[in-house]
Amino acid sequence: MKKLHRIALALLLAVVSIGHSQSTRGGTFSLPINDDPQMWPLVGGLYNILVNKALYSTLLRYDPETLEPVGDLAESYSVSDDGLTYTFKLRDGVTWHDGHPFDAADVAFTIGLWIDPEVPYYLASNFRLIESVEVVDRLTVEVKLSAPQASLPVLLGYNANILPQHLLEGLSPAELTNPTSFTRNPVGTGPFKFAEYQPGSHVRLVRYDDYFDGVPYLDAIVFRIVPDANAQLALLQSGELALVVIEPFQVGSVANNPSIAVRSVPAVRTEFVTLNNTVPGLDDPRVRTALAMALDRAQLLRTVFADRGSVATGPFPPTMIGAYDSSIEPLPYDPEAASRLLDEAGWTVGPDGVRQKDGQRLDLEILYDPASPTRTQVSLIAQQQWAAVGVASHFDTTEYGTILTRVRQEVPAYEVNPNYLVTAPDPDGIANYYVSGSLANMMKYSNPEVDRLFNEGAAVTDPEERARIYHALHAIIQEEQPNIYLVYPDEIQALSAQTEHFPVTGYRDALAWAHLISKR
Amino acid sequence: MRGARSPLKASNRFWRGWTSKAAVSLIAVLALGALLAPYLAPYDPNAMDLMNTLAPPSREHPLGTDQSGRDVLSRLLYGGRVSMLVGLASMAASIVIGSVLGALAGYWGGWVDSLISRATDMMLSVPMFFFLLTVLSILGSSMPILVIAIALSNWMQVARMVRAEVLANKNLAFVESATALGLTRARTLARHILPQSLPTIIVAATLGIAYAILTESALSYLGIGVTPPTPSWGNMLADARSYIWVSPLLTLWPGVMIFITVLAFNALGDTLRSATDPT
Amino acid sequence: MTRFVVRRFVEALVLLLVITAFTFALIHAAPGGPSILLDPSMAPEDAQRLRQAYGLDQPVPIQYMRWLGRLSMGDLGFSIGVGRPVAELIGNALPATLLLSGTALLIALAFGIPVGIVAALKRDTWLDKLVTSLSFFGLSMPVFWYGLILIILFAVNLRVLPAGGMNTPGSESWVDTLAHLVLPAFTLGTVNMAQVVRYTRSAMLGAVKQDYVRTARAKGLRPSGIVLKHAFRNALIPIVTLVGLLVPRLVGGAAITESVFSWPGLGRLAVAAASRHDYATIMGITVMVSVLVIVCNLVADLVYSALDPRVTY
Repeated sequence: MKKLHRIALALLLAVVSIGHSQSTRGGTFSLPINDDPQMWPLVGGLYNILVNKALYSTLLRYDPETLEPVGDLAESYSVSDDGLTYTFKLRDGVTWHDGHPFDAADVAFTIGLWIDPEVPYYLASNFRLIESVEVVDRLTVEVKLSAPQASLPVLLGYNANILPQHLLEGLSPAELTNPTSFTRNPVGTGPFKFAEYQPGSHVRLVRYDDYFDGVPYLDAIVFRIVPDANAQLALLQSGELALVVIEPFQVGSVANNPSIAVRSVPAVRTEFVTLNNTVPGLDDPRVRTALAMALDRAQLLRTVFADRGSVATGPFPPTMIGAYDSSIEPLPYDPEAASRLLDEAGWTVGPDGVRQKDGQRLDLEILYDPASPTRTQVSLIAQQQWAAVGVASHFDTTEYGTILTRVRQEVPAYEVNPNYLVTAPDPDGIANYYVSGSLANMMKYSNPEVDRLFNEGAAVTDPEERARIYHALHAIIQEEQPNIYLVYPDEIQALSAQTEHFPVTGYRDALAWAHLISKR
Repeated sequence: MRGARSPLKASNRFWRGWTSKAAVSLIAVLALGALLAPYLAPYDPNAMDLMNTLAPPSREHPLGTDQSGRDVLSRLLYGGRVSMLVGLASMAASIVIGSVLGALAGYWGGWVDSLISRATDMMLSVPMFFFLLTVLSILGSSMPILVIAIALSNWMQVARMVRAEVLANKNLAFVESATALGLTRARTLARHILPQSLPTIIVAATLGIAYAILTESALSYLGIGVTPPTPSWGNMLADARSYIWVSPLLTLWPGVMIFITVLAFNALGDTLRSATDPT
Repeated sequence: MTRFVVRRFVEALVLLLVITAFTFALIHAAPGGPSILLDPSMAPEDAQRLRQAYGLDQPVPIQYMRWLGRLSMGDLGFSIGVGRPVAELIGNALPATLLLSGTALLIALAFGIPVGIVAALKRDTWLDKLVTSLSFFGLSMPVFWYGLILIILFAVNLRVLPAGGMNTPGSESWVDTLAHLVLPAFTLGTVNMAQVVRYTRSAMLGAVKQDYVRTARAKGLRPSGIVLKHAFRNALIPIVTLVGLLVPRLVGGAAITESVFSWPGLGRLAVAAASRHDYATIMGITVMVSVLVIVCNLVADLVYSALDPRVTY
């Protein structure tokens, strides 16, 4: 019976991923979000971003297989030789959900909002190098930069939705923080248009027949507000939801259900343990490396991450093409070598079994959020495996929002913190986390060479040159271990059997291709 | 005709019948289990075994293992210490605070009643999650702080109940006669009126233990309860939820222990009540 | 009596001021901040600008005065993170909560009071013990666990009821809403029933022992007559207190039940607002719950004196 189940599941998975040439039309696709979405692209928030992916369009979006930016509203683009001028050729025949035609004026208007210092756009820093934007003709826009920015195409596909000028022009920056008259009936160019929103309950989007990339297969997409993770699984199992993105520990809960298919897709995500490099002991790269070598990361991958992903080798996951250096090996799991390194660094084992130096014990405080079983497990395992090499630790627990505040302070209020990072697939997005003086630099890591390389990489557009720079960065950071890099986990999707086709990529990026989703 | 001071002493009345004996024995067993946990537990409650997670009951692990491979039986024994301590201590604190304030409010009336009742209203209106989050974040989740925090979230119910009883009883005939006899108001309150409310207070106490243990569980569910990896029945229950599809038994053990504890204290409360109020 | 009510009204206004000030200070003192400002992919400069746009960079007392000013004009402000006016969010959530909590309260009272009375009359018999144990079952089970079990049983395994939400998106039928109401109302009702049973039983036991009851018995009146007429009336006092306490708790506090069942009520709103540190919404709900608490306690006090003429203020 089990073998038959496995075969059935394999068939199911295969069918779900197969191309959409014979996709069925119709049906409603429901997925859960934990809280209400604002449906306004200028502010962030995960659930807001998700709904906006289906409602609005961006200039470029990510190809599901390669994650390279390809055309969405922009059919094509060209860059001048000095890298300072981008010319976008827009698609013809695109209309807004209210029927109004889309043209270059909308793009110019939107980009104008992004660079306006009065307008609070939450990703404005991504476009700080844009100096001006100009309408060349009805379907052509020219964007001028003050300095070259290699990551611009990727960033244009990262939650940078284009807004309708005819509905939003004339609003003051204060009104643009929260234009309720617009968000009560949001109008975009995406494959699905707004139908209804019941606060606390759900958002329902229906098929937009005049979508420029073909009529979407589904009748409607429903984002149901389900605050509880276990309730989400229950709704999936009762057939009321079609997709739930699950944590590794939940895989066992759905594995035996024949009407649910579980699949892993590569994500732009790194799981690591952040170390406050200003804490005595953690200021020494030998100690940090020893702590990494004392952790059996391969075992972590198998037990805590359900063996879905790969062991991490540094700050860039494999999905960051052009930056990830596959030749770099992860640090070995070698508790003996770790002990030797610690001895070398002057931390010798004291009478109580805990290492000490100059009268100070190496007793680290691990800060984590117990609401996440994954991070709880990582913390428990870290405590156990570090104890084996003479490093003691104790826990401090609180909720995730508080943790984020504490680790990103001027003087960080933590010592060790298991955490994760999800970013756009461009290495430039990681720079802020490693550059000296940046608030996002939770480790308070400072290396002038790293700063210089990141600055260089931001401007260079030649892919080979970029690869060289980022590979060098990868090597340096792996050497210095400001963080302990654990794994690059896959995104685990649990799909109901009724799903015929769902793009094989992370669900955030898949929703930008929502017109291709289909149900049996 | 037997009156309130019957020849049968309160303690004799208490021990009559099997309920009180059963309740006391059960509580004794629970208390012993908690006290002797270090000697009774077959394993270290925090010893993980990642190769043997969520195992069903077996010879090595009579109650199975949890999501980190830790022995459930050992965690249950140690968890009892935390839960029973938190349960009893916060209940006691909330009962004392609530009864005293409620009685004062009901008996003195006037501005005393206004002040106390409005303070009660205030505590009932303040968003509890935020209150607890802030208090526990600033002061830490250590056991004493947790006990006080839970007590502070539950005294209001007791206060309102006792106040209502006192209001109803303070004008009764025997009270007037007590006053006529020259007893001070404080004495009247303590010796004659408050005992009338004893049944209600006892019920509130037994409910209070259940409330305290379950609140600790809810706090763990929200991430601000007893600091892991220390087990408590509450956080074992909260953690086990996520594994309910693969290991439903995991939620059963702590749930059953909470149920038995609450039941035992209730039975105790009931028999105490009958013993002190014999008619 | 009028003086009493007037006095309470004045106290209520003062109390509201104290509660709102205290809560405002409390939520701003809590560590962490609005989650919309904590997105790691947001640069600190952008976060700062957003903070200014929401008025959160002002000192807390100034923010409080502004909030109070808007409140006096009936404006509860906008929700950070959802963007809608707080009044609208509460207005949408309130009927959902009233439906759920009202039904649950009805279940708790309709089953709890008779059960409590029977337990008191048949005191110490097997019936009493059975009823007592069952009601403690309800008290020992955290809702987040019990509710999930019911969902798995009825929605996933048996597929007879929906697993969450108030209605199927797109459906307007009240039958659909009723189907969604069954599980959460039953969960909430049975958990609170235990308290009702306990207090009713205890109060009845106390009332049945009073002198006037024994006298009536001695006169030969049937027990049921005594129960209905005298004992129950006095036993009502703790029950009224309980209802007075339960109503605001059920309205503002069925939070965990609503979260588990994805019920779009005030409790879910409160929990969501708390976790995203949506100050405006939290304050709005606090005001509402405070008013409810104050009103309920006032009504309870008035009912006491109506029930029992010995009660004076």
